[in-house]
Amino acid sequence: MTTVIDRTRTPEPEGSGPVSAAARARKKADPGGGLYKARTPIYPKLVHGRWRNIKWALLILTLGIYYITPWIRWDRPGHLPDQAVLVDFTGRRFYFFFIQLWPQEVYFLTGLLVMAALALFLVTALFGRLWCGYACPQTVWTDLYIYVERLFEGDRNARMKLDASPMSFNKAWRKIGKHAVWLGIAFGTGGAWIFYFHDAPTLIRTFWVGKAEMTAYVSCAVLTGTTYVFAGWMREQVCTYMCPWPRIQGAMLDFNSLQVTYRKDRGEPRGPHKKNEPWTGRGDCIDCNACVVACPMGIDIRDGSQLECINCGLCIDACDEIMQRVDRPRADRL
Amino acid sequence: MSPRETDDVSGVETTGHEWDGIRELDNPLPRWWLWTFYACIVVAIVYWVLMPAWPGLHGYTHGTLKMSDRAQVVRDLDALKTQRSAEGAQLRNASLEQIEADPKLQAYALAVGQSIFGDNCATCHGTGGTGGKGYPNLRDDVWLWGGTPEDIQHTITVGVRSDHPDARFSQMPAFGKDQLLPAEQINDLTEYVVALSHRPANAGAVGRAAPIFQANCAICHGPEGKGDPTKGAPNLTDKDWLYGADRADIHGQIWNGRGGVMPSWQKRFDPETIKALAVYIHANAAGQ
Repeated sequence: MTTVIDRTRTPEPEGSGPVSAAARARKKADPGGGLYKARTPIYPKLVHGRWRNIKWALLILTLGIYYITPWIRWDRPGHLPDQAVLVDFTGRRFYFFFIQLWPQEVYFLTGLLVMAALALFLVTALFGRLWCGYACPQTVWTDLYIYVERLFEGDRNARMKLDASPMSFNKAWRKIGKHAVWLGIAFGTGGAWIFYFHDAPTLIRTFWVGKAEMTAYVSCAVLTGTTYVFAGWMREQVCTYMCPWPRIQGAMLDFNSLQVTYRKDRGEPRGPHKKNEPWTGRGDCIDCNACVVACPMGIDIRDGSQLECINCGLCIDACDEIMQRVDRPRADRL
Repeated sequence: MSPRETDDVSGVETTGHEWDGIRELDNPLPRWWLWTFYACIVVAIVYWVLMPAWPGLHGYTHGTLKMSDRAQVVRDLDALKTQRSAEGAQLRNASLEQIEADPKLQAYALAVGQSIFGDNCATCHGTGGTGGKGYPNLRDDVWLWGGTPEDIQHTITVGVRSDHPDARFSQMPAFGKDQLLPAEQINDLTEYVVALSHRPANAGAVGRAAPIFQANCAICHGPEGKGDPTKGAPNLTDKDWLYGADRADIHGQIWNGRGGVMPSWQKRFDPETIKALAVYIHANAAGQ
């Protein structure tokens, strides 16, 4: 079922129906206007369900691939390195298991990138922004960082309360602990990166005694910095403002694209629902905002297709949980 | 310019710009973007102070760090020369036999030779040194100008038919082109040369060509056609052919008398580099 947003229709006056995005935007906007907007903090609430589980599984899988790959050994004849995946800049070779590439074969890399881009377009045209929601490093590391954040500061409500509270010992150690672990993960990320460019078992020793190459330290520092800033501080800002993909995305979608959306035909008219009230003459949406608070991008999926949406499906999990509780069907049981 | 108005869907004002009916929303920029912009300006100013940046009428601003890739290359090359000076001096003072007898010195000479060969010689002789049509193979035991280390060193130094006064020089006459011999005699000679390398040939032509060969060719190639390395005259009885082995190639060579040029490397390399190169080429060749 496809919902067509009718933009020719005049919007309903405020207060009469569901709150429109325009109204919320106006409400959120700085009263004095202004050219710049500070980031509105987002406190995504933990949800449980199918999509969350797939995301956890992919997080473990993708991070596992990233961290373990440099440690895989691969026997090669003579004095060739025995690291399965190695970008050897000094020796000017790229080793990938049974493949060995020379500098003049860089067109393989070009070809790979072209194919990756086309595969991204194809997958997006068919299944929507699967890449954004599940496989993009920005999403995966942000997910991991939010997980750490919950360990120290608790879930949404506890975090909001903590941020609003004045500085105290309790607040200080939670914040310091969170940032320390974040930095640790960031350092691990930068540290794993450089293993792709040198023999990992050798580098892990030379790195700590200060005998590794300067490029190793600089790369590690840069990636530690970007990981910490992007996954800890910027998060959805990277997707919304820095990544070109959401902007291209608009051209990739058609009526048959698979997309995470709010089904107006099912949900509207929305409104609070009391127990034992009949469901006739109204939509299934009880306006509980579970989908909004679960969203890591800080949007309301009920406003329709938006460039911020990474199609992660966490709002579906949030909604399913509520629908089960009020005895309405889950999204996949319709 | 269309009037600024509020977009119904997003509730955001438009910029007033319109392109083919598409209007731009005037969303506020994220504030971190502004800070990034300021940071870039600061970085740029610091860069102008430290690094070469602004062009002027007479040159450019050099920056307080005085960075220059050109000067850096000169410094790097000097450092490299200093680093190599010990081994370089050893190479300079040792004879080619001494270099080949000393494994450490030989290993150094081979490394230098390989890199110099790859950059300078491989263009014509091939990366493996196996040559090609018109470019001698350096891996076999056939040497036009001698294959001892000293011969190779001398050939590299003076070149072949180069502008060096002592260049190795030989000239195969263009018997056909310069009308030194009539065409039918060149056809007969072709058969004779084919027969010299122990291949089946027209017996009548071979018989007719024998005196012509002795009169015109034997002076360089020898009465038996075995060549002469002191004159750079190739051996015609073996299976090695610089300009091709079949009848058309041999006929063409008698007719046109091709001779390639190898430059003299004396001006480009110091003597120890040429020594290293000679050691490298000798070590990779068969025989002599």
